[in-house]
Amino acid sequence: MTSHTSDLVHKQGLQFFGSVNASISHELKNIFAIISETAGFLNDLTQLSKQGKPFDLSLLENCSNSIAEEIERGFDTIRQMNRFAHSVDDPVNDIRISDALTLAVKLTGFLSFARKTHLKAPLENSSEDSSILTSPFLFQALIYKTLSALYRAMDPKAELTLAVKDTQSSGVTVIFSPDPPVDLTDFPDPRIAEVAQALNAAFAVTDTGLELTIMNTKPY
Amino acid sequence: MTETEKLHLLLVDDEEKFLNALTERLKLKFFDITPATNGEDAIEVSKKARFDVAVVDLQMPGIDGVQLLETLKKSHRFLEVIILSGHATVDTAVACTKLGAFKVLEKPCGFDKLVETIKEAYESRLKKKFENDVQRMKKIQSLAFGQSPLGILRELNKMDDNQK
Repeated sequence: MTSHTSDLVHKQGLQFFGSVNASISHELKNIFAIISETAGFLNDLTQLSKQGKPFDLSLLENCSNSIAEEIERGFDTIRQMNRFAHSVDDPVNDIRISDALTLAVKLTGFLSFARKTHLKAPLENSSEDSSILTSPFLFQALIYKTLSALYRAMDPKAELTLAVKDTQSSGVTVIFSPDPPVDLTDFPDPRIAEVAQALNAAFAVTDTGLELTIMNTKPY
Repeated sequence: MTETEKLHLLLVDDEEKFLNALTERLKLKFFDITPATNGEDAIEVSKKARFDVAVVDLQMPGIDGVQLLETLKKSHRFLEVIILSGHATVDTAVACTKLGAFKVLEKPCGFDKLVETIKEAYESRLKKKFENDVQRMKKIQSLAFGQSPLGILRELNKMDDNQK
């Protein structure tokens, strides 16, 4: 690991790790808040029943369905948290692009300013098994930061589509297409550019959005 | 609080299930609830209706809790706003209080505590409104001396600030 990359992991990497954990804990709190209020409402209905006051029985079904759905949402959040935690297991590894993008979309989905995002499947000009040898953690950071920057630039009702194509050389290109398109004149900011440089990746602003090409190479 | 004297509450949270469950529970406490899933809708309904207290989530897409707090306090002088935050830090609490929030509660805060805080906020609103009414009454009484009927009307018109 070069000293520059080591600095990058320590500065931006830790900040990224912290902000992802903060958004996950916020998501879990929301889930607990819903379960707590729904359980409280069930208790209120029980009290009404004890007092002989009638209520619509479908409310009970709605409550139990809501609690079950939130528990599943909680499990899914913890699954993403676990996958993200394992992204630091290996400094360099072969990663499946579709898995990494799915995780990044789910993690950014916890942000309050996230926009509706679609992952094109099967991926354009590419197999679903497209993979690349790189730093899993920094790649996750790069995609997460790119998605966050795009979401901030997009209208609240705008939607984003992600696609992947294999490059002629050993690498892949991730295509970000916001609908409607956004002004990307100032993209990427210096922090995103720094991570991209460490990963031997390059951005190109196109008429419809953004292309990120990353080469199959060791960043360290 | 009885059914005849319902407290008008604006409840704003982008977590729809949380909003629905809380709305149903608060209705049982004889609160008149208007739920909104975003800041934009909350501003729209606040233009058409009078509210005593608003409970607002801090983190929402689009207009967030801080922006909504500022907008509501500008247009509704006596409205008390309670902020619900997923991660209430001291900085958040100070910033919201400076903007006029009645209290910042960490989510989930417990239903009984929320109800108690809503009641305290309602009492605060009534007290502020009463003090304002007393001041207005004093001004009106002072107008009765040495003013022509038209002059009194002009002064009364100035005092009618149409505040909610």
